[in-house]
Amino acid sequence: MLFFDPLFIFAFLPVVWLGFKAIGIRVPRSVSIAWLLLASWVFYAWAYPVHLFWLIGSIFANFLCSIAIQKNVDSPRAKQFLVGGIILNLLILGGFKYSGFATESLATIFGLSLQPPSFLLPLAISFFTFQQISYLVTTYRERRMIARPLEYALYVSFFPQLIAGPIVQPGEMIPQLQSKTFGKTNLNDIALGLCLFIIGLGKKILLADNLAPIADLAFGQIAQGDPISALTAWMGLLAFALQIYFDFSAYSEMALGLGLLFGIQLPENFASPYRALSIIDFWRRWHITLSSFFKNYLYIPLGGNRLGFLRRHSNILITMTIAGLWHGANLTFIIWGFAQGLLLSINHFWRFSRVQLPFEVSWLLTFVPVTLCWTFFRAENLNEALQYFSALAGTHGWASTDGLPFIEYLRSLDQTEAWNQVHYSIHYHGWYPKLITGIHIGELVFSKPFLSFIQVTTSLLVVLLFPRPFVWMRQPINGNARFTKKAAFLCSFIITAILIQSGTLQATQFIYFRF
Amino acid sequence: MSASKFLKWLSCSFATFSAIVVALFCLHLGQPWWPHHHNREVRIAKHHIAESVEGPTIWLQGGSSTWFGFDSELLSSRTGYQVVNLAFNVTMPSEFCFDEIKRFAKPNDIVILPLENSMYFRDYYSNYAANELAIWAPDFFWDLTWKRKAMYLKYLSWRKVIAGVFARFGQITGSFKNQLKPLEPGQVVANAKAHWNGDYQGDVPAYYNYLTINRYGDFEHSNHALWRGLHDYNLMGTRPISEMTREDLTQFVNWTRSNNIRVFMSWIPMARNEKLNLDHPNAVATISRIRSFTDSLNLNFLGNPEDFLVEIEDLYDTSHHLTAEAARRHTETLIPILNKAIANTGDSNPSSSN
Repeated sequence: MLFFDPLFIFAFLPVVWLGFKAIGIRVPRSVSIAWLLLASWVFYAWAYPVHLFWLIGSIFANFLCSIAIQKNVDSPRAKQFLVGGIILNLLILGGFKYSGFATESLATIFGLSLQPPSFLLPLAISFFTFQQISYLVTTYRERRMIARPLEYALYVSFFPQLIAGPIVQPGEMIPQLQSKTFGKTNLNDIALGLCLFIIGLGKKILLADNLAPIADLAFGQIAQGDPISALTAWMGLLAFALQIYFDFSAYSEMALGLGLLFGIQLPENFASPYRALSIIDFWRRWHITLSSFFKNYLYIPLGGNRLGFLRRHSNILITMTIAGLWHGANLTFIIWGFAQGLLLSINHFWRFSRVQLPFEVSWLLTFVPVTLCWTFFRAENLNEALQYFSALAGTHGWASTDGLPFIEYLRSLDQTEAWNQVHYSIHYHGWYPKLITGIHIGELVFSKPFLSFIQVTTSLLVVLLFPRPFVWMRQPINGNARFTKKAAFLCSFIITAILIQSGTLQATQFIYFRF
Repeated sequence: MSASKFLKWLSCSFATFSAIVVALFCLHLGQPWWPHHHNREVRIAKHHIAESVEGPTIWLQGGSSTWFGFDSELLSSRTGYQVVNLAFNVTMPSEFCFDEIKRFAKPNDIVILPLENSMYFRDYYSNYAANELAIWAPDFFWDLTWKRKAMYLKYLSWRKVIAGVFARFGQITGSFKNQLKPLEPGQVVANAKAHWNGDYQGDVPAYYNYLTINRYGDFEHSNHALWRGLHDYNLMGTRPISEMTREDLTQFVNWTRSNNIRVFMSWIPMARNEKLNLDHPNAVATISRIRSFTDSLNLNFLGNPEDFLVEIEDLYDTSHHLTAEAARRHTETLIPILNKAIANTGDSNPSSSN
């Protein structure tokens, strides 16, 4: 089930929420937790019920492990249980996620005829595995039982964050479940949750999913071996950069909003990363909880920045490469992670110079490399990524109409079929000013390249100019969230626009659901 | 602003936006945009034919394979019934097709439904049909149930609404070019009559239009470039009969029974080609599903799909449109089966039905 699925919005969510509210009035807190847990498991099992076996099995095993750690807190066995638990988690994750990739790699390198194992990757395994590792570590560090079984199961399974994060630390959620007020949501939280959910829905459906076809077309052509012009390649890459931005931003806001509807404040996972003025800043804003996880559980244990210059930078490269691999078992993700590590290292070097660049230059030096790296993230394989870089460099020409006179260029533009009715309607009123004999402005305005350009530019402006909904809404006025007429108008506009488009929507799964 | 005020503002502003959308929708209804008002004119001409016939009549209804697939003059001469071909496009919703018959059919008439196979499985309104009907049959929308209205709106393009609103403002401001202006119904009928009498001197505005139908409503073939694509005629899939079609056909059959009108189902002409294999288990099962469905309504099929197979050379401009000669042969194949069915189900002499 997806957050934008009508079944989720009009059936699952209302039933679960009303049930939660009704339970919260009279019965003990544990019943509210059980209700949410049941709903979360139904949500998780909806598409592939068999996956629930892995989720529950993993919860059970990890909880037993946490009990073992807590029971042996004064003996060295606690550490053994911790290490054993982490290894077991990573083995299961690795077995599911990377065995195919490893087999294929071995077969390629050593020329063996190995058959990669074939099984369906349990949904969200990367997320719930990491979340449980952080629980085991926290139990070990705090030397106490943090949560009761139901609380722990809900901490791992809570449906707003189960599929694609945020990766919640025990301290960020379990105390909320243990609070006496849990189950008694207030109107502020409900209004704020609703607002964030609607804004996220709008970002996903109205922005991300409308950018996807532009990116898919460009990357699809490369995948088929068709040459594309640099203009098309840049447009496709920018479209993907914005698509993944809005897609992830949408998910993060919807998750926050859903959490608030149930009185749980999840950590912010996305803080306008494309406004970052350095790569270091970018990684403080993009997938914040995953970055924190890798920092706390990999970079710092590796030695962090405490073991000298070389170790520090090699730790950054190792951490980011593994973070890349976490996204998927593919060489492209490994290279993407390594490239991010390299950029971070360069950024740390640059800091020594203490040179302050103008704002615009800093922004460009952050946004452009990040965008270029998305090529590895989006391409299906390394060859495709390299072909795409070649197209970006203009090896197949700068525009598909190189060498054509301007008038012929205008004539050659593909018209966007979806807009034909509007185009003709305006045309037959004679409302178009003529540009050149036989060519009028509508030929340009309703052409595919122009509309793609408008879409990409508008989306970029939204990124740069609109406030972060979470911050915007959370700025308190007299202790209350900052509800404004603007927010109300924005939300109702989004709902109306989605309803109008509902027949022609081509909604796609959240990109981060794949990981 | 407090949360409760926020929620009130959210509701009020949503109501306002919705009102604006409803206003724009109403404003756009009935507004044409080039060149699709030609379908409207085809409908006007067909309605004129339907209104003009007297005596027992056979009504043909289906998709464009029915529009292109019959020689109604031959059918009329061999059965003694008047014949009107009301069909024109496969995407038209089934309730629209049946409503068209309900407008004109009278007791003792016969309805032949060579529905396109896809029409049995369709549980949606096509975007094309939703856009078209908003232009020339807005009443269709208003007559739908609330559930169907919501479904229809889902498939109506919002860009079409904008286009229609532009057209409306064009009419108001007078900046509305001739190409976009639909003809008055009287002018359509006058032109069509002149065309049937060989007196029409004007331009033929488009390929499919009211000047490419004959006085029975059949398509009038010209020398259009042949295009003979391959097709599985929607028999090779595994889709179930749609609830939408089930509901609409059931209602229609009940109406015909209460009005003493006989209904026969028929198969569309299908070209032998590599995508179609009537012996394939999927095709056998699909045909069986269609037959079980019509059997459940006590409707008889005229012949079998194999009886109406044609060669690919018999196709005209799509895999569903027959040439004039193939349409004649298709009709000739149907006539003895139809006459037998008419004799089996009632009086075979149409004049005695009066």
